[in-house]
Amino acid sequence: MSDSLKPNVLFLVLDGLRSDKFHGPNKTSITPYLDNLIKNGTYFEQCVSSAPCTVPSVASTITSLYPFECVVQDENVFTINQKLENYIQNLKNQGYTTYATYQEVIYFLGLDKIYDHAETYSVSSKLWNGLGEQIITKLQNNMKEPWFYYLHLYDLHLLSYPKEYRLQNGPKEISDEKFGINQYERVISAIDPWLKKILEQVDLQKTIVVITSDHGTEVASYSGDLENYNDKNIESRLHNPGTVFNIAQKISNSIPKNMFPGKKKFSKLYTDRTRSNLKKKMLPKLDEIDKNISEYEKRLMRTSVWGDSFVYDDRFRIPLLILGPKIPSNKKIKQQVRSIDIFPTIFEIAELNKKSLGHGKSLLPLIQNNPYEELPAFLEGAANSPKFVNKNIIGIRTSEFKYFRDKYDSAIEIHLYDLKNDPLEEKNIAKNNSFIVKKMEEMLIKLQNDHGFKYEKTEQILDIDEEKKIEQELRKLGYM
Amino acid sequence: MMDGARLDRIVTGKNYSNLISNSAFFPKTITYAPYTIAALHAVFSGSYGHKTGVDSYWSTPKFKKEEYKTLSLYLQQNGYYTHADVINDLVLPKIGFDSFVVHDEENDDLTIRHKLLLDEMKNKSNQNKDFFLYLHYSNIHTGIMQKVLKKYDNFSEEYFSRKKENEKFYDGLFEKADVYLGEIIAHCKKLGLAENSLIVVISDHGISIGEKIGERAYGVYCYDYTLISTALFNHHSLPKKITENQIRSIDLLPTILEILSIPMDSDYKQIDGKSLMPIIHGNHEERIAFSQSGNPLENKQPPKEPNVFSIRTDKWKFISNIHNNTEELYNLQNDPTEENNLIDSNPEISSKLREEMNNILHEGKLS
Repeated sequence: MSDSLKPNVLFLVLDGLRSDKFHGPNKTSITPYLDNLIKNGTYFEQCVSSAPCTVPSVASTITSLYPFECVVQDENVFTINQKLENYIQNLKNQGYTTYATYQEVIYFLGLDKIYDHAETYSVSSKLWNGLGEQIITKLQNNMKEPWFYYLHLYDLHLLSYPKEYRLQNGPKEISDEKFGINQYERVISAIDPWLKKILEQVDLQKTIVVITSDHGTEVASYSGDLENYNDKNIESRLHNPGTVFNIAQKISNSIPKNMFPGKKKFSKLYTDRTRSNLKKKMLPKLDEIDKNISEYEKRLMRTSVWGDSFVYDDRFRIPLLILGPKIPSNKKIKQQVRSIDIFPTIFEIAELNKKSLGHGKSLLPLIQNNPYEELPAFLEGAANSPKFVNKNIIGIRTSEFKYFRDKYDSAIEIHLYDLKNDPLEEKNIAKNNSFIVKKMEEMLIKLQNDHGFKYEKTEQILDIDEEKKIEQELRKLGYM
Repeated sequence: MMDGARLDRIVTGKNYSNLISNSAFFPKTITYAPYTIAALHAVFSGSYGHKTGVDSYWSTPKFKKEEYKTLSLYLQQNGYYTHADVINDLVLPKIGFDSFVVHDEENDDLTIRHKLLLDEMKNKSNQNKDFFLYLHYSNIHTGIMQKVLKKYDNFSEEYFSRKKENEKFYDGLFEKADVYLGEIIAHCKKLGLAENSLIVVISDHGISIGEKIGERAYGVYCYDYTLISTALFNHHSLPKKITENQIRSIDLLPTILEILSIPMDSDYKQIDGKSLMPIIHGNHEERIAFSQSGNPLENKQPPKEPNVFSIRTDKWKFISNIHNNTEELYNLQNDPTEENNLIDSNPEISSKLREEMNNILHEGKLS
């Protein structure tokens, strides 16, 4: 196919948007534009991400691999394994010019090395305070066709800031109950008109539009008392180290590393103590909670306190809406699909010559009502950084069941949920369903590679260029 | 670091002998690997390569610098200016060096070059700055590369049939190395550096002169003509002494740190090596040495994983050839050239040493 016939692709990621708040009976936001878009495209009601946070999720989506396969630890950050084949590179190979706009906080992900043109915006930039206009200008300035534009919006992350900040810096809708039951949904209502303005710049006749998310969030469920409870925890987590610490830190930073060999240890001691104090400050309040609240609400509260990275649906079910040429309108698909299937689908819709990478499988047959076998989704309680609290949980999800357990020990933290009858995952039925546990464990174990489910470190990856360099050196030394 | 210096020549070299008589000398320093890359990573980390990640010619980038603190990093963090002048980018972990320079082994005059570096260090010393200077004497390798590695393969009949000529050629190379060493030590004395410095002279491995078909130089088998390296510590606080018992190249790092009163950093993994100071001060200790090499077999390049493993004691050597699943056992006291394989006649010794090897390998996997 000549380049002029290839469709453009707009890949829109609304960070932290949960599927049930995008479409369905749980949604209370006012989003006339989005509602209309759903009517004009094919919507997947049960799309599952590979990870509960941005870095592993994005890496997984553009490689169709699971986080432990495509994320590597580089010093103190996780980053995409640049040595692996990814879809963005393959789009470039097919004549696409690739653009990306994302928040600077994920710079270490290495997207700048992957896209032809990558630009970042600051943490405080939101659609309603200038970012929206900036994106519109970009789309108006003749991007070279065929283009692929990755637009990653962080507006919902406003919810992780203290209430006062949110009210001061959020959109006007955030204080108005008519735009949603909680502030999360009101922000979605505020995003809606901006999506309209952005998509109006795009020729939908020759553009495939994908609207999705990287992960969901429990915050979407906080309303009323729970929202207040979460706000108090956000306030408690705000760390004010105090004057003594600030002075000590200044002195410590001014001393050369070699003069202060115990720095790392002191720093760890300080962090551990701070965490322990924080735990003391917050956890007792959990005991005061009304014992009659549901298991789901209890879990929401625990997450509000500590943010453990489990693999419940709140974090893993993301919206997936596809629009564009050849995509049926007003079609809703209930079957489970995975974020790793999105790019194979784009490639097939755009008729690009590239087989699917990793574990991904095009959803086009499903869109076209052809037989399509549902595939299990791998779940990992992965973190954005090695420094973050990580529960080391892995699991498998089908439309019917979710099974998960400790990443390194199959006998610890075993959970099994009947998703059809218990969608909020309140009742762990692992004990009485050992057959299903065994079956799902078998599915899980098959996915591990030579390193088990462990992440590789950058220095463990001997890339081809590096190997060639070594070969050259060994030749010079006379060994080859 | 005297790359490729053989023990049998070292003990007869004029300048070497002078230095040995004024130093604590370990003529049987068993190298972790009989080739420079893995050998020096073990020296600088005080640990075996199967743990640090550097266990082949190819694995320099895999060095686990976050888990193993190198000698250069210890010294740098203790206020030393650290400089390395090396044969090649791959031979040492770069971490901890303020300056890491690769020389041209075929064209640079290493004696002049290294004397100039000593002059630079003298300036540092005059400014009350401690320094760590790593000098790599690479010209034995240069000669072997030009006349052996590039001319013959590991099975060239011509090479293995002319052992006398090979010896003569090696002697010529070694003689120049000995002269270099003499000039460097003399220059240290002239600059007044010798009195208050710790001078450590090591070799990384020996070199074949045609002892065993299949190894024209080194880095193939685990026989003593390549596995024995040497170490010499010259410092006013140390006794002048020759220790005949074997030690390991991984013991050098903790020894240097102890002489310089630098404590081990507990934020890193525990190393395999042990300080030699008790031995220097008269203790009798038997240390077991583990080594790994990479037999290229019929291939034209070294393998990416080690495939010959050995365990050596003062009396015995047990070799496991992973590539063909065979084993060897030698009584080093009665058979120093390792000609009579006793694997079938000494099952008890073999079993004990095999177990020792498995323990060391297993420990690496667990860590």
